[in-house]
Amino acid sequence: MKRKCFSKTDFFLIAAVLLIALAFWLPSLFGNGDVTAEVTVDGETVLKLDLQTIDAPREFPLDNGVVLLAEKQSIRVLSADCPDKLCVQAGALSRAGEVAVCVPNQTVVALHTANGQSEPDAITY
Amino acid sequence: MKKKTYFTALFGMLAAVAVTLSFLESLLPTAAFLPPGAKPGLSNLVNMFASSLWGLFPALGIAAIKACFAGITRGMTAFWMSLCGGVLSTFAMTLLLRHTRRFGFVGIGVIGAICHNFGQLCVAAVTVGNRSVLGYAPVLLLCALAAGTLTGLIFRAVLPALQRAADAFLHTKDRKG
Repeated sequence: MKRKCFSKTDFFLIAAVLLIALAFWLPSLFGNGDVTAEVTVDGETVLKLDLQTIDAPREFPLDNGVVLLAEKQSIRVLSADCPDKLCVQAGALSRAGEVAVCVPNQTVVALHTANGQSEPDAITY
Repeated sequence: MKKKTYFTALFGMLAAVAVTLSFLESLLPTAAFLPPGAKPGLSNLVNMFASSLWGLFPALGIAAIKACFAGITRGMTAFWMSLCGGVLSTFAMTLLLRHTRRFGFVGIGVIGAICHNFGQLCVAAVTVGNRSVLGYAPVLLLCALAAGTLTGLIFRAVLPALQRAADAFLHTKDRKG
């Protein structure tokens, strides 16, 4: 018997993955309200910002070469000295649960809701 | 002895194809709605073919060579992410290709892509020492569905030609898949 291109098992596999992904992903799309940005380097929190209190765009250079730009309601990685710049490409974060990660610099920028709860953190892996 | 020489030559060519595909992919811009760094993972095709032609260890060899290339061009982080993703997905795809016929090519591609992303995500989470990286997981799952379907379909399309070429080259028929 030759292997099929798309079997019945494949169908169930894809349906299951789709359901799991959407179940975890959709709630984060509706995250809104006041957010705080938490910046960690190698697991240590180095910066915590309430994005509501930022009136004018302000840069936050970190010791490891990552520069953050905080604006009202959003924060982005402006520049980094890593090779691939994926953290810069992640763009501006504005919703709770969004993250920008610079793996080479061990830096994570994560947004949480103001009461300290970030929606995806409710997921257990 | 002659067979070993043919193996070395074909293995080298496949490794070159894998490296070339992953390099060409890195030139592609990321679409706005995708997470940064998302790629179709076409070089997984080579791992799939190597594991269906020879089995686990040559396919792991291809994954290791790809990881070294990532390491040389993009640094140690890229090396570890490529290695863990590649090794995990090669194990999974070899298991499915050689030990069960329940999954079609699309299913194998999808599982390979999910395992690849999962391996990379684990390395990322350990490196940054922060679990919030796992927030990427749902979106990566969706990307893996698309990328895995694509590689599965391409693999199905090119497999007959690749097998004829490999048979002519190696004078062997001892393949599965």
